[in-house]
Amino acid sequence: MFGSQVFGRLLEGAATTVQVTALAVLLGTVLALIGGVVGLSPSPWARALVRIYVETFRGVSAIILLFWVFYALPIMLNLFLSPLHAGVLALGTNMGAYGTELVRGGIKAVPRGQSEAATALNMTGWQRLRHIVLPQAVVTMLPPYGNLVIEVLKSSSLVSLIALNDLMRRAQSLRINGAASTPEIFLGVFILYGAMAGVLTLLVRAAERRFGRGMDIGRLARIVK
Amino acid sequence: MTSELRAQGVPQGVWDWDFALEILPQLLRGLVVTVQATLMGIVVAMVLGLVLALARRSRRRLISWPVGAAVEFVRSTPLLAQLFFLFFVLPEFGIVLSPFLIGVLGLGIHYGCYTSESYRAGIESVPRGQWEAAVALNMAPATKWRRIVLPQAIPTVIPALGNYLVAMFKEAPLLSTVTVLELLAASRNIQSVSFRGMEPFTLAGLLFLAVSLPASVLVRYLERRYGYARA
Amino acid sequence: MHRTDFFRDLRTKRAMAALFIAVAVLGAACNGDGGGGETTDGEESGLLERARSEGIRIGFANERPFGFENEQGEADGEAPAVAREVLKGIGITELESVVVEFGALINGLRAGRYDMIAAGMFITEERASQALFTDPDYCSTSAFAVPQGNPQGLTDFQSVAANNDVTLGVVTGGVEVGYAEAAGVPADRLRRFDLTPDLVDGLKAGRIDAFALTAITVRDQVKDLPGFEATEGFVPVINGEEQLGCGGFVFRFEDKEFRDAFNEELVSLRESDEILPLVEKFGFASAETDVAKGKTVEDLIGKPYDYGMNS
Repeated sequence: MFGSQVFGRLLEGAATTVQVTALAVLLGTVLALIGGVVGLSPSPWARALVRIYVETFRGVSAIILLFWVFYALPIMLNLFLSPLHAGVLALGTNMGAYGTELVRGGIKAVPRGQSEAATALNMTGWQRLRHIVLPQAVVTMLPPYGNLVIEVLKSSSLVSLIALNDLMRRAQSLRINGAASTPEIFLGVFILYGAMAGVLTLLVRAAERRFGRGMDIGRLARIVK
Repeated sequence: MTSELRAQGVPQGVWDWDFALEILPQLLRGLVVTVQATLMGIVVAMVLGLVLALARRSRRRLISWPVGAAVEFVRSTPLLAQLFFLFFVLPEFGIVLSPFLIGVLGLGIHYGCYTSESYRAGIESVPRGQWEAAVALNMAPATKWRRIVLPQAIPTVIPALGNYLVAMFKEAPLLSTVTVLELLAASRNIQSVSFRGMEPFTLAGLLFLAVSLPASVLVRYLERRYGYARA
Repeated sequence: MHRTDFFRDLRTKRAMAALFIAVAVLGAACNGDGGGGETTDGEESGLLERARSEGIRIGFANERPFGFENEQGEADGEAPAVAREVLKGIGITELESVVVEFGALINGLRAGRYDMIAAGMFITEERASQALFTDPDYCSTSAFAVPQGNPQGLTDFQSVAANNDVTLGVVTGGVEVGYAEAAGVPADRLRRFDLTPDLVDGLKAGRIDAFALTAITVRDQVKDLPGFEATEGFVPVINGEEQLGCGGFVFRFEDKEFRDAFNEELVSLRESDEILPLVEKFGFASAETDVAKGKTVEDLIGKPYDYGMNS
């Protein structure tokens, strides 16, 4: 179909896409966990802070945030931000805002009885969180979390607009060089994105199975809210 | 040096208020275009979503299967790639659409695939008993859909549609990549000519929040009003 | 409530702190493309010595024939060719290149992604206030790419403004944007594209009726465009002033020492007619290189060039 050279270049781009996505998801997950937990704190200041973070970073779209981080933030902080840094920072904080709500919902969905029992068993707050609440919260959180990760994968294509050589940008370069026809190139692009999304979906399903071990997962459990 | 430049009208410092006010009208005009594209896009998505949902429920595998695959495909690939496809690939087959139309179609098709899932969930949430009663009463399929199923399915879809409307608005700036003169395009143009990124992009963000935050509040109201599960 | 003790718990605080540190370390450890870019305000940055021992990175846009990636993936074209020769003359042989959209070139330079721009960038007042230009090595008129026979009769930017049926394509960040706007072309008849090939696609697809670039680029592009031709090169007249575009190389303000050394070598090559043989194969003629002789940055921006500030 198309020369292996063309596909090879696209694969290189896909590798960068995976890199950006992975780093952004890492940042986003960390922020979501922190935000979700802090968002349930008794302190109104803490809750307000999280609220502001969530509303702001969700309200401005990923793409505007990306351009702002790349063009405006360096001026403000007098700091050099490579496209990779900017991309990860923007996409990660954006994901973290959505993820915070997820984590909050997930934690709240864990039946009261569980945390009360944990306290009765003399567990510290931290132990309770780590051993009892979070593992159960994760099961409810995983499906929407998986969707969020796929959203980050798709949003990663935006970094092509700040001159980072991901899959999308490689495709554009190939068009310029005339190495292959435009329809061919786009076919490759769609196949690769579809494949990456497919792999991610499988990973999330595997995680669902692993975390759901010993619990009632599936349709039955999801009705319980 | 700085004062000389300022006297000539060159903006200075991290944030220049005069410059910010100067570019505001251009950004507002862009925002209008962004909103227009979003509103038209959601109409496309609403209609397409229902069509796709019905197609996927079709008992004929020849219809439901390809449609299902296509929907999954569109949902798993970036909107940016889809917009570029409409913009760069279609002309190779002789179809040249205006950038705005490409934007509306791109948004509409992409989110139509999402709304089709919501429609399906809504349709499936209609209790079995209703379907069976409709059959027992000898209703024609069209009547069954029109009078019984859809009126019960649609209310559950409304909050989701609201959410997708807001989500679509947030992705509408992607239209700048296919030369639609909307908000982000205006910011980028200002930046490329003046070399100042602080004012255009910060203002763009603030303008965006000014629209998306109230819209989110509205959506949350819709969620409360129309409720969620009927399980 | 039963959650209160969670936050007062010292272990929680320690864990949170550890988390923050981990994220920070990860962020710092992940080096994106391009480290470079030490911004020392006002002082000399020592780029010249570093480049002599380690090599230099140049940024360019994919725009034939000024700068493009050839089949070997190397930077080729007028600007890289001249840059290589000049750099050899000041003792630098190691070159790395980075491709960036034209509109993003200056930002990338200032952010440190590369150390100089070799893209045949026209010297303008706005650009010169953002970065340090060398004297020009060529000058070019502007031209339009139009359908064969030039049905709309386009001769200059004013003619585009006067004709309500004409939509003109330009490159984001290019001088043609300013020329068109100053001549009165309204926003809805001016389409900005990020890349030159997009301009070409737009013309072929009928989205635009013509596009405007340097005469050199237009002539080069229409070679592969059957059914289209280049108009006569013209010098845009804006507000009564002729705007002859002359292109040079660009550096950061803090690399003045480097720029001066580069400039000296560049000017000596220019005055001794050594530029033309380097760029003839890209479609340049003596018309373009001779006009640049004797010109300095100040000539082009119309005022003394002494900017040392970062805005």
